[in-house]
Amino acid sequence: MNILNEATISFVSNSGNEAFARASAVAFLLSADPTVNDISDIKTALSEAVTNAIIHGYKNAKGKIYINLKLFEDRKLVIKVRDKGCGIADIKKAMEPLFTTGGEEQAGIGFAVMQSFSDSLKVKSEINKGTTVTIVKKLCCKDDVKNMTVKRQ
Amino acid sequence: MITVEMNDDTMVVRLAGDIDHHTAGEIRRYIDERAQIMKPLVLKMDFAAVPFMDSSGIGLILGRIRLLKLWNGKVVLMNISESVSRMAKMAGVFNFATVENKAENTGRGNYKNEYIK
Ligand SMILES: Nc1ncnc2c1ncn2[C@@H]1O[C@H](COP(=O)(O)OP(=O)(O)O)[C@@H](O)[C@H]1O
Ligand SMILES: [Mg+2]
Repeated sequence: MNILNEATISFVSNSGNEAFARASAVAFLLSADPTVNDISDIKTALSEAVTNAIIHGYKNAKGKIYINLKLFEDRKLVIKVRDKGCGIADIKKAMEPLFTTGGEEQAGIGFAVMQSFSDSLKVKSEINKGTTVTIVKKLCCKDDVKNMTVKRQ
Repeated sequence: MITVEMNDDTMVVRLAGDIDHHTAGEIRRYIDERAQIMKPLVLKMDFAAVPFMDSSGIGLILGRIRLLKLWNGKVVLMNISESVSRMAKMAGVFNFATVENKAENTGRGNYKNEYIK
């Protein structure tokens, strides 16, 4: 499948950059004329991954976060979020809903949200090397949505 | 950004703007400072002016449920979007908090529509 567009951004792990990451992804997506729901889902999944890199990967210390966005001809969007932080010892356990090492104010559902708001989620991690999260979502076409509502009527 | 109103035993907190890990801390401190003094029996959190929220907001809600429990107070969530509702379900929030949605608020999309234009 041919790539329609690709972008890579990197930034320091300031929590203020969570909003920057979301806005960048939306700017990247706009050329594909995405639906409101797709934008909302992608922003949420990306926000979870970037937040994890900041608070868990780098434990709120300074480090670099890399986001790679790829849009394919079939409207498949692939987002990779990479940190060079502490890594995850037990990925399976980390991905269990409600599991958190983040304490009282963390809900522990970040991975569950990434999964539920996308089509697929892959997590690769190595202790003291870092973590890469790959989120895949096929964007729906506005025409699809229109056809669906026409059919329903 | 945030406003707080106290009517009898009910504290209404109207949240505004994106809620993520970056903004949640300040919102938490703002609410807790006031709630710990007023000890409301009901804390209503209104999300009508929140265009975006991730699971940091769910952590914020769960933390306030825990705080209010100290004096047997309850949390009520107002005007939550469909995506917030999905996340709340995943975390079991509805076992501890009730929901009040205005009829005219269709949830997800309302604000996002404006945001994209
Ligand atoms: N990038 C990362 N680097 C190191 N550990 C991580 C990373 N992402 C997630 N984790 C681990 O996985 C756990 C679960 O993550 P998540 O589902 O997002 O819940 P939460 O962030 O609320 O703890 C975290 O508490 C943390 O221990
Ligand atoms: Mg998380």
